[in-house]
Amino acid sequence: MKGSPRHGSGVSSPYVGLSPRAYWRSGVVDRHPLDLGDVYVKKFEIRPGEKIATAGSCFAQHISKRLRAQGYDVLDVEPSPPALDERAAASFGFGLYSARYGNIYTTRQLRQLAEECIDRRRPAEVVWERDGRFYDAIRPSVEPKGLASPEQVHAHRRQHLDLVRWLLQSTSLFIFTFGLTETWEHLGDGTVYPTAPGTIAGSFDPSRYGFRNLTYNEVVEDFLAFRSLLQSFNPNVRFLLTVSPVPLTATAGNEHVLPATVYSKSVLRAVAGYLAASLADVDYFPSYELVSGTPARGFFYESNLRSVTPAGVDIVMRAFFSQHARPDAVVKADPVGESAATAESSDLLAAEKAMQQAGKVYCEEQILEMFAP
Amino acid sequence: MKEICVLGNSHVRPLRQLVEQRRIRLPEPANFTFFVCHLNLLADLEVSGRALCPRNEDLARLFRSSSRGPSSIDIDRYDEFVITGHGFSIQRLVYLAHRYRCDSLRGPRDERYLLSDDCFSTCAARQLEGGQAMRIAGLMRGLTAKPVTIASEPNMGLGLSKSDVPWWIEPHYRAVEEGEDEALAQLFRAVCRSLADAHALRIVPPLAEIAANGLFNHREFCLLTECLPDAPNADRVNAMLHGNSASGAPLVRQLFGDAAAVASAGRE
Repeated sequence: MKGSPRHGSGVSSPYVGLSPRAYWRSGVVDRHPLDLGDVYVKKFEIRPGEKIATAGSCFAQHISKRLRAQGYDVLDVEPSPPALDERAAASFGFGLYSARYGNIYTTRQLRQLAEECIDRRRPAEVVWERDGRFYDAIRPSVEPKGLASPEQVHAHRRQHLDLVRWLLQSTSLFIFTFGLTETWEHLGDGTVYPTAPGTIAGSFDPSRYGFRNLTYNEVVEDFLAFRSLLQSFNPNVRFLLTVSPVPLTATAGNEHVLPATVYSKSVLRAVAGYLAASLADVDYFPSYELVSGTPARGFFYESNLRSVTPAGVDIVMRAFFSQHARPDAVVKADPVGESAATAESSDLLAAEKAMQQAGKVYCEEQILEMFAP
Repeated sequence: MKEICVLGNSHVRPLRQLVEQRRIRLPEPANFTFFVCHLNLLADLEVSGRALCPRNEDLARLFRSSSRGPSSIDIDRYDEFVITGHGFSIQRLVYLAHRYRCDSLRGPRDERYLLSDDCFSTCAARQLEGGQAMRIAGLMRGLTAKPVTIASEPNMGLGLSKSDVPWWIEPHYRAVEEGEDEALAQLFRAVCRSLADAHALRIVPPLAEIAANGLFNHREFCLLTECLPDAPNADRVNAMLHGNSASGAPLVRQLFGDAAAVASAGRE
């Protein structure tokens, strides 16, 4: 009789008789903050053999690692040369995501990457220079020392795009972590960059580049365009969205960074919610809420109130795996190593903690801290 | 008297021959002590106190035999350390180039993934760092600030055709055919410099003055010159991998500086 129950002396309300998860008290206050129960209920199964692709802002690196550690088939079309250890590989952009695209902070960057892969767009400016070295402006962190010539940048980018195209054709589940709405774009053709010109490479010229803070409508439009493009050649692909709980390092939007962060995350959260509510092939996973929500009391942030602690990543991924546990899971303590253990929870936590201690999230945006007074 | 400790495998032969023939003239009198074993046994050499000690009797026996006495390397007894071969070789880069290209390698693309020179060199450096020569050098450096030098394995000698060599040598021939040998040699030299700087070592790459190209030495500097014409192919392959006595003099100059001299054979 949900929706029209009778309560006590004949009082009826649609809020009577709902699941405990629907009430703040029973869903949040009375729960231990490390165990909010069914805070996430999956919309669809991750099927055995699912080919998962991951992309997004730096928080998405945690998701990639944990999925791999759980034995999920996370695609990697640009695998690290075997000689590199995890840290060295990550410094060249290997092993962070399903390809070496670095952090994709905005839906516009994601859309433009996909369009470029299928020759639907050609960015006006891909090469940035610094100290005589040349960088891929759209993924400037994957070559820490840059390359010797613009031609080399183009050659590396062509190879990258070929492999990303293959990735987009191959994946059956695309997991994307929304990171930012703020971005810097080329005023000529609207190409957006993951970092402002002059941060890692290039130099800022206000007549060439402009600041853009994407609106709700723009984020929706970008994601839907990406989805349509992807499904035009990969019709069965599904999407799992999440929002990074990592605040902005800095805003260029002439307001305080706190409201700027709340605006950005609110837009992204609203878009993700809208997409998940509207589309059968899109699910939403509440990373953002678990880490930044009031039940966490800020406990899951490092002292800089920005970086997510290993415990924060643990709680997020525990909620995820509570719905997407693999009955045949083999947990790899080291995603690139040889040791393995069965997926007993204590082993899992130990393995994840070890990975956390060994791992490091690579975040270009963090470089902006250098510009703070 | 300067005490020089040489830890080597089969590639120590040219140097050892010159020492045993008393043909090396260094600026100051020197005494060489050789500790020789196969690369596969070197994993059993560990630090104990201020010495590098074998963990098993096989290795200890080989060391006693080659050093004509001690089975352990007492760090404080020597003024200088030289490690020859023991897996420190340009081969690592050749095999890497079999699967990966980099900007300096202009050969055909094939299915090779394109890396930057920086990434390619980092891969090579990591592989070399994981090898026994670097491990032992690191153990030595952990115990002493005295000079530690790694002499890379020599390049192979020319003289055998591609059809005569096993599959694992073919990539060297292919690299030369595709014009990537000089670039590989340059990359290797750069990796040697960076490893030397990072680990406070000296690293001697393959000797340019006896090279026929980036990956092969002239035949007259490899052991093929001492191979009988009817030697089994396996012996000939082994011979092409090793330097002969003629390669010893340039090696000595590289190891001990231009002031080092090697008396010609027959003056004993």
